[in-house]
Amino acid sequence: MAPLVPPHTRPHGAGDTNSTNANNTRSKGAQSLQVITLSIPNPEWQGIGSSGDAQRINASISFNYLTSFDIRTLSTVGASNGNDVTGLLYVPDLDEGDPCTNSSAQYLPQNVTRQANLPNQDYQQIAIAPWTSGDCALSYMKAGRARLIQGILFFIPGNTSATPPDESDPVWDVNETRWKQENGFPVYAIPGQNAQILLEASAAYSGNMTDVPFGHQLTEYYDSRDYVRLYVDIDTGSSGSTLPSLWVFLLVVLGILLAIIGLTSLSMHLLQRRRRQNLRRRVASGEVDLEALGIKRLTVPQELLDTMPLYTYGTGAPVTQQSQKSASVQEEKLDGTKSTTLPASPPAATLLRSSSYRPSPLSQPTCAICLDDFVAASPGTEGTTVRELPCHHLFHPECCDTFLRDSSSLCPMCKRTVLPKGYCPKTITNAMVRRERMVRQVRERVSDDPDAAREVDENGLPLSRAARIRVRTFSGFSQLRPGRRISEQVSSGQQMQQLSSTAPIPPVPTTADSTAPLTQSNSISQAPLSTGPPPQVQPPATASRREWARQRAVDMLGERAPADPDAEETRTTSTWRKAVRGMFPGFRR
Amino acid sequence: MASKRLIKELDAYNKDPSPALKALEPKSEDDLFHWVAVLRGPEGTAYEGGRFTLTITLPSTYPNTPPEIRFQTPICHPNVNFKTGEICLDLLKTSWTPAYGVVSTLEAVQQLLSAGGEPDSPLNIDLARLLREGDLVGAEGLVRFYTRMLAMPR
Repeated sequence: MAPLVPPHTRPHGAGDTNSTNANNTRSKGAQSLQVITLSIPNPEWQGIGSSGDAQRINASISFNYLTSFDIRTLSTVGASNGNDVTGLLYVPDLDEGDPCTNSSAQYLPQNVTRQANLPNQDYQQIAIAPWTSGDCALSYMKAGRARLIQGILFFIPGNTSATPPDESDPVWDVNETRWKQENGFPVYAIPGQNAQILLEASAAYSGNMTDVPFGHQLTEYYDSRDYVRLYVDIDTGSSGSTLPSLWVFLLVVLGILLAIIGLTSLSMHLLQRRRRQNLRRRVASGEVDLEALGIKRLTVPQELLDTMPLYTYGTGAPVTQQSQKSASVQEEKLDGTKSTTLPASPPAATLLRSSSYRPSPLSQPTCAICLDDFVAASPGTEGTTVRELPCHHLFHPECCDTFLRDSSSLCPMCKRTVLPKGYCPKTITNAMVRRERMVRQVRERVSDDPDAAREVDENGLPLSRAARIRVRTFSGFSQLRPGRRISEQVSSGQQMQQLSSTAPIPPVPTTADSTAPLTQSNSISQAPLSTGPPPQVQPPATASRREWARQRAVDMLGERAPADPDAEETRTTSTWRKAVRGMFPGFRR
Repeated sequence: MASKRLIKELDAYNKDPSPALKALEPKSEDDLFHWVAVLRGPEGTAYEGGRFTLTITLPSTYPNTPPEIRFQTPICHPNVNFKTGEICLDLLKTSWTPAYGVVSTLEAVQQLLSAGGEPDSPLNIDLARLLREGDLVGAEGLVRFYTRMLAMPR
C-alpha cells in the first residue's frame, strides 16, 4: 500500500506525545490512540496566503483525545512496529443500496465526516465504522480499501466503555477467511463510548472552519477556507520498545567506531600500496638498490639466468638452451671450425646477445662452486659448457644456477650483482618499504650532520658508538703484536689472489669495482688456450697472507649482508602485532 | 655434488695444509658431512698457543648453503657462545658464497679471533662488555686465562 501522501501531512508533535506512552509490549497491536485536530489548506485555494502545510491546531481551541488501554487489535496486516498508523478520520460511504447503510445509520451522527468532507487530495485516511455484523464490517472495509485507507477503527454499538472483546471472540466472526490479507490494512476495535466521542467530534469537524467549535477564533490564525479535520494517530508500539535505546546508542557508537577503523585501515592500505609502487618505481629507475642498501636479499629468476650467455669453454662458441640439449653435432662442427680460427674473434654463428658481446675464454680454470676444472674444447674433446655472468666470471650452469636462483643474486666470486640495472623483484612487501624508509631517514640525518657523515659504514648506516669502539679495539689488539703490522700496500691485485689454487676466495666486495676490469684485462692479455693456472692464482707470501686474511676478516665483520626483511619480521613479531599490522600497514611508522 | 666437492677440498687441504689449522678430517671414514678441525690460536694474540677443536657439519646442499661450524673447546670471544660454541660470523650465515670452502671459512674464523671480534653482536656478553667499556687489558687477560685453562695442552 503506497503512501500517497505528502510527508508533511503528519503533524509535528504527534510523535512526541506517542513516544511518551510507549510501553514495552512487543506486539504490533495498537498501544494508544490519539486524535488531534488539523488545519489542512484547501487545495483549491492554495497559493494565496496559505502556508501549504497541514498544521496542528492548539489543543485549547480544538478537539484532542488520547486513549491508551482500551484498544483491541483485530488485524495487524500492514502495520509495523515503530510506524504509527495515521490518517484523517472519516466514515466510509458504502455502495448505493447496501443494506448496511441503513443498519448502521443510527450509530452514526448525521453530519459525520465523510469522504466528501475531506480535502480533495490523497491524504492518508483512517476509517471509523460500527461493527453491526460481519457482512457490514466487510462492506466498510471494502469501501475503505477503495480509498486506500491506512487502517480502520471498528466499534460495537452501545454506550459501553469496556474494552472490546478479544479477536477470537465470536463477535468478530466474518464469513470470509482471508479478509485480513485481502484488505491489507490494520483493523482495530475501540469501545463504543470512545467511538461515540470520536464520531461526535467528527460530526463537529466536518464543515467549514467557521462551523467548527471555536471556529471564529480559528479564523484569526488560519485561512478560513482551510479544512479543519480530525487526525488519528494509532501508536503501534515504537521500535524503541523492541530495542532499548541504550542498545541503539551502543550500536551506533560501535558502528561509528567500526567505520572509523575500516576507513583508517583502508586509507593505510592505500597509502602503503602507493609507497610500494613508489619504491618499485625508484628501484626500476636505479635510484634504490635493494641489495646494496641491505633491504632485501634478492635472487635471480630462471628467466633472467637463461638470458646470460652460455658457451663452450675455450671457444667462445655460444650455446643456446635448445642446442645444448639437442645438437651435439652442431657443437662438434663449431669446435672444428674454432680449432682453425681460434683466437678470441667470436664465431660467425649467431651470438646469443648483441654483436658487442665477447666471451672471455680461459680467464678462469675452475668452477668456484664445484671446484671442477673446465675442459677446454680441442679437437677430439668436447669443451665444458659454461655460463658467463655479467662480471665475466664463469661457472657450470648447473652450479651457479641453483645458487643464484635459490640463495643470492651476487656472483660467488666477486659479489657483484648479476641482476640488470633497475631490476625489481616481482613482489615488493611492506617490510621492504619500511626498511627502505628507515635507511633513507638515516641517510638524510647523516647528510644533515657533517660530523656523523664521516663515520658511515658501507651500508650507509652511521657507525654506532660500539662500532667506533670496535675500530679502536682492532688497533688496540694489533698494538699488542709488535712487528706484525705490515704491508699496507696490499694492492687490489693482491687482494684478488687466492688462498689456494683450487679454492678461490672472492675478493672483498669493496674492491669489486677495481677487480672486475682487472679480470677482463688479464683474460685479454692471456693466451686463450693456455691450460696452466692464470697468474693471479699464486698465493701471497706467508707474511702478507696473514695480513691479507686479517683485513678480509675485518671486512667480513663490517659487512652486513641483507637478510630477508619479511622472514625477519615474521620471526620477531608476535601474533597480535602481526594482526594489527595486517589491518594497519605502516602502523609503526 | 656436495660430497664430490668435499673430497676435493679435503684433498686440497692434505696437499697444502693451512697454517691456521693443526688438523682437519672427517669424524669418521664413511661420513663426509661431519668434520673435526683443530684451530691454532693466532700468534701474537691472547689466543696464542691455544688449540681449539671445532665441529663442522656440512649440509647436503653444500656449497650453496654455508657449513655449520661450532667451537667444541670453550673459547672466550665476544662473538662465540662460551657454552654452545656457536659462532656469530655473517660469513657463516648471510654473506656465504659457494666460492668459500671449509678451509677458508676456518681461516676466517681464525681471523675473527685475531681481529678481536665485534662487541656489537655479542654471544659472550661479559667479554663484549669489557671491550665496549674499553678495558682492553682486562679483556686480554680474561681471554688469556681461558685459553690457558681450556685450550692449552698440558
